[in-house]
Amino acid sequence: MTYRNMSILTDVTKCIGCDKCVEACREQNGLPPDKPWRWLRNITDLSTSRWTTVVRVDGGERDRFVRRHCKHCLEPACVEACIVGALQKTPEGPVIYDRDICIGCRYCMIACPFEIPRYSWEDRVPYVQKCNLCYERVKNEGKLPACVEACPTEATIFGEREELLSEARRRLAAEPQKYVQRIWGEREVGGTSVLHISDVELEISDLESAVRDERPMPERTFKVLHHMPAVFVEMAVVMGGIYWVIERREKLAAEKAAQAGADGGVASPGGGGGDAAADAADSGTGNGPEGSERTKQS
Amino acid sequence: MSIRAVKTILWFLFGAGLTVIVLRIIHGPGSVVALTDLMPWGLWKGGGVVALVPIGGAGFTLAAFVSVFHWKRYRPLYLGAVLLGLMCYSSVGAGLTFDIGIWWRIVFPIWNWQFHSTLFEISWCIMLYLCVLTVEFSHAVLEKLQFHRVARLLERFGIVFVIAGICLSTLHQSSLGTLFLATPFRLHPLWHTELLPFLFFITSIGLGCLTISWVAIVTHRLYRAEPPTNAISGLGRIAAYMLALYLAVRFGGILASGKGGLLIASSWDTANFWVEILLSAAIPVALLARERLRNSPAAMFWICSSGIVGVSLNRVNVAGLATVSATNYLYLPAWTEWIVTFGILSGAALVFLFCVEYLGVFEGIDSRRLDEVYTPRRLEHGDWRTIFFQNPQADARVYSVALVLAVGVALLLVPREAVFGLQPEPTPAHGPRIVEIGNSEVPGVSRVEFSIPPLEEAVDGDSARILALMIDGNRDGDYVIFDHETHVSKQGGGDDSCVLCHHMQKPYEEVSECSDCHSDMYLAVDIFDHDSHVEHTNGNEGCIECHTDPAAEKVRETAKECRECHESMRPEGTLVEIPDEEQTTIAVGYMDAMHEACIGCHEEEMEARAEADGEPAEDLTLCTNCHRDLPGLEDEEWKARL
Repeated sequence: MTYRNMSILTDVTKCIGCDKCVEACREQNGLPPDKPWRWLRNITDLSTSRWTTVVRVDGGERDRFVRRHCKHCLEPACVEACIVGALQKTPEGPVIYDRDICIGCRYCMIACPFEIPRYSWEDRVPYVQKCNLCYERVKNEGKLPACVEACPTEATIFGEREELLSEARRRLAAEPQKYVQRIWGEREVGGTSVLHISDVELEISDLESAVRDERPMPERTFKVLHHMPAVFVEMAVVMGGIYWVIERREKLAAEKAAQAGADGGVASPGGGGGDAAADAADSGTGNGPEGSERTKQS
Repeated sequence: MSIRAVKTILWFLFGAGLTVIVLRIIHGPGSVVALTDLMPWGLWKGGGVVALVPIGGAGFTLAAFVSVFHWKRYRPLYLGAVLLGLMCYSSVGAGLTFDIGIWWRIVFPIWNWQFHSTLFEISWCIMLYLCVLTVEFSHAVLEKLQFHRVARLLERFGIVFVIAGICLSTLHQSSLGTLFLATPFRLHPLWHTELLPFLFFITSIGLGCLTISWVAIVTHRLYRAEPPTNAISGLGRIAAYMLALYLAVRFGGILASGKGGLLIASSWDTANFWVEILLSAAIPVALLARERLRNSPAAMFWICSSGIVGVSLNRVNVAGLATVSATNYLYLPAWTEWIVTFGILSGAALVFLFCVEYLGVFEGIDSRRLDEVYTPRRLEHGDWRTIFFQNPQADARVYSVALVLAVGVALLLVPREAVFGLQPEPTPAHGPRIVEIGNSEVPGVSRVEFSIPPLEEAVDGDSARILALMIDGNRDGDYVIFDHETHVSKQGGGDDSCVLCHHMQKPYEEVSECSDCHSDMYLAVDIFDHDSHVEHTNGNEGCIECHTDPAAEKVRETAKECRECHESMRPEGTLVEIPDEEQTTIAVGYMDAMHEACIGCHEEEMEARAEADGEPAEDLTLCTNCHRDLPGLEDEEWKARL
């Protein structure tokens, strides 16, 4: 089955925080057990061993559990940032990672507005770690993503983005007093493939809560970057032009000086003075002092 | 300070840095950096790349002044600036190589093209510009080696390289700013502006003027020569104009975008902003406006220092320091990161000084000056210092000692991860606790029921309150009742049994986790014992007992179902549901078994209550219903752990 936009909808009201999705993900992707590494603030944070995790959010009278994993943005910042194209947005929707070409620059981690990509700092040859929406599994085996399959309460469901959006809207409309009337992921940074609906406001991470903008990330840099070839050419033309003009002016001045100096003697158009100045200008030191003196005279 | 002392220090730093680099190659970057997932770029990126590239901007700035604009006043500093650029960009290359996770893939951008990536553009520009700088500087080397014909050939096309270098620099100096346009939510609004590329570009010109002046002043001072004051003073004036322009654009941008209020907010970021502005531009511009100060090398030294520190602070802020308030994560570079940065810079400085001494980079520093500074001090005859220092190889000897000493000191001081590889943090488990539990025998079923906390009154049958030990054996915050005596006796008792869990003073000792032995506690387990079945069915002749179809492959799927012989797979009194309608020899794991033992009743109870009340009952199936009520553990602690 081919998808146009594989997506996941998580209904926070249904999640009981059982961590089955985390375990299923671990098994599916062969992730190691959780270990208390230095760089983890909390062992249950997203990490090399957890491409998805369940975050406990204070929800007043009872706490809520919010799944956190790669959002598979419609216009992903990480894909735009990646220096070698190790991160790719597939036509079916998931953002996948090619560990064979990743150089480990970690710009994806800087660029991601949701602080999702993790790095396996513990490895001698470290790689970026993040959810791939079980791309191969869904595409080749026709199964559901492991986390969705494992969910005992159907809090997290899988499907086409449009269908999930309409399902989310249906739920919001069916129980308007229960849900916050917002679909997280619908429009943030141009929309994401991972959607959340909830009965409390979701403040998942410090950075994520700051994401209010609906402008896609990639255009922020490419807007400037696509001018660069033009800037290169313009700069070359301007610098070349200045060089040519000044060079020519000096050459003419040198000729004039040579003529005045020779005063009807051996006429040598384009004589030594100009060349020496040009040489000196090119080489920098070479015969520096002489050159500058001569041009000063001229 | 004498040139020998400076070089000795440089060799020492270089040796220490090199040692850490070797350890980083062996154990990966995680072993020597203090970076985390929330702060993935640190000193090596922010300082070693983003801040060092504009320092190397001296190369293209002076190339433009001298070769394109024909401002001959600056010619004395031209070659020095190119060499400074070359050293800075080489350091950037070296630093970046060891910063990225997989260092040998530093060359991958050459063939893996990604035109939308700012970093891709920067890496190509830097690679090409490094080539340009090499060509620009090679002239001096070729002349020294007497390859005059090649030198002249390069000279003829010199201007092409110069202009290419200027264009490449324009691109990557500004693109370093473009990099951080991608972090609008991370970077503090005082720094994040659409103007970043432009600001980065103009500061790189101003900073280029200041760095080559600083380097020239310091180098000339080291060799006790007079720095070319005329050129330095002129550069100071240009730097003042560029930095004043920068100030105007920066403040104009902040005010125009309505962020003026942040300038007077009382926050850490605002203080940081003003320190940066004062050091990078305000103080240098104010002082450089005075001609008297511009003409004084001592004053210029301090002004340039302020500018270099300030603009570097600007780059470091954009690359990380000004993101702290958004990510709420403070990163302080490990000393190993500092020493690698200083080590690489020291290596570059040594090459720089070598070139200054042998290639005539600065006219003022000639062989006469060198003889002067390198003249051995007058030493007493027969003194050990004389023997050590008057040898023709004395300098090399001192530097070698510094290098070896540095390696030793670095090895002594590096954290244990850098030498032995990374280990998880040692035992964050909370200590064991004693709890009182009630246990009651349920009549009719051979089962003991524990209740935590103990029931107030015994319900049925005998009930007793006993003390039990609870440990966080897997360090996951889930305490379990632990029967220490049984563990001792099952392992044969005696001293030998202790070490199976408590390792008794081994290096990096950690107590074994429960799951080290109970490897199946989180997994479903196969309870089918094939060998035992073979034995009970008289060896090979018994195969057909289960594998009834001789033609079929002898695998589990084609064999007889278990329940055909074992009528009840479900032991008497068990609470755990085993689906007996399908062929299975897989038993649920410990954790699932425990959960299912409890949660079934909870669900039943919930349904019963809902039926009785006629409306949905309180959700009794939440994990926290059981887990947070463990005695002796505060609710807050549970929340923190979950």
